[in-house]
Amino acid sequence: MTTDNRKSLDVSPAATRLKIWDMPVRLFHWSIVALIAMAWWSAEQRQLDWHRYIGYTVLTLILFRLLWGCFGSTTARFTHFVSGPKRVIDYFRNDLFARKISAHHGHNPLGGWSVIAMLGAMLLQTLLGLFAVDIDGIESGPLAYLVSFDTGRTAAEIHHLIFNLLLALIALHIVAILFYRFYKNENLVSAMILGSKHWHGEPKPMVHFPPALRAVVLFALSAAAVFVMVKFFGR
Amino acid sequence: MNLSVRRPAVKKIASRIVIASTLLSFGAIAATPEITDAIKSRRANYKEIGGAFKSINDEVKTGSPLIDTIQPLAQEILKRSSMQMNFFPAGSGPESGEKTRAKAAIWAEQDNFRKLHQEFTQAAEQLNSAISSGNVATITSAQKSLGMACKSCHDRYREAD
Repeated sequence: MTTDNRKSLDVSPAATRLKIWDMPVRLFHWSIVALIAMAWWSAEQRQLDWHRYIGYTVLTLILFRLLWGCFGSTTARFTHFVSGPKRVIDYFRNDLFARKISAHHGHNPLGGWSVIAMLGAMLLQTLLGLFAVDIDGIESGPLAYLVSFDTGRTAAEIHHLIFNLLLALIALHIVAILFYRFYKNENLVSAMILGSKHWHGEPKPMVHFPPALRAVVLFALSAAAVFVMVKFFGR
Repeated sequence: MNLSVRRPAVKKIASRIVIASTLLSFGAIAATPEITDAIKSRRANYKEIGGAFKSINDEVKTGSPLIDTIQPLAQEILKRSSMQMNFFPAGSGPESGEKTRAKAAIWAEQDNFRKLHQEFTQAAEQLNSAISSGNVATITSAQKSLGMACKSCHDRYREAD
C-alpha cells in the first residue's frame, strides 16, 4: 500500500488523489453496515441463533477497530481523529459551513466524535446483548447465566433502547454525508469505497499504512478473544 | 375597573372547575385496591416464574443439568402457575390505568386465555416429571416446551416491549 495513488480519474490537472482510508477501515465500515441490518432483521424474525452469531461478529469487528485505532494506519488512529473541544469548536465555526472540500485527510474534528459515539454505542450494544434475557426465558445471551432474571431483562430493555440510539446516530451520519455531498460538494461515500479522495494543494500530508499482516494478526486476536469468551465462559 | 377585577375572578373559578372535574374523572377510572393488588401480585408471581425458569435454562445449557438444583425450581414454577389465574380479575387490564402489559384481549378471549394457561401448567407438570426421570434429553425437550408455552401466550396477550 503506497500513498502515491495518482489515477486518471482526476477532474483537473491540479487535482491528485490522496489515499486516506486503508482496506481494513473500509472493510470494517461496510461489514458493519451489513451486520447492523442483519442484526435488526434476525431480531425481528426472532432468529436468535443467528442474532447471537451476528453479535459475536460485530463484537469481533469492534475489538479489531479499537486495536486498529491504536496500531493501525494514520487516519485510523484515535490520536489522529479524536480532538479536544477547542479544535471541534474551531472546525464548527470556520470549516463546517464553508462551501468547499475539507482539507482534512481523515475524520474531521467533529466527525471524529461521531465515530467515537457510534463505536461506543455498538460496543455497549454487544456487551448488553451478552447478558440479555428474553421474556419467555427461552433465549439469552451467553453470559446471562451470570446475572439475575431481572438484570437480564433490564439488559434486554437497554439493548432495545441503544438500538434506537444507534439508529439516530446512523441517521445523523447519513445527514452529514448528504450535507457534505450537496452543500460542501465532497463525496465521502466514494472515499470510503475507493479509499482515496481528491486532494488539492501541496504538500500532500503523510499517511502511513502498515503492512496488511498486522491487520490480519489483530483481527485474529479479536476473533480469538470473542471465541474464548463465548466457548469457555459462555453458556 | 370593575371588569378588570372580575375577569381574573371568572378565570379563577373556571380553572378550579377544570381542575376539580379532572381530579374527579381520574378518581372515577382509578383502580380499586383489589385490582391494584392483583396486578402487583401477578407481576411478582410472573417474575418469580421467569427467574426460576431462567435458572433452569442456565443449567440445561451446560448440557449436564444438576437435578438437585433444577428440581425445586420446576416445583416452584408448577406451584406458582396454578396461582396465576387468580391474578387476572376483570378490570385489571389496560383500562385499570395501572402499569401493565396485559392486553384487553385476555378478557375478550377468556376461553382461549384459560386454555393457553392450562397448557402452561401442563408443560410445567411435564418438566417436573422429566426432571424426575433424570434423562437430560427429556428434560431439555420439556424445558423447550415450557418456554414455548410462555411464548405462545406472551405473543398474543402481552404487550411487546
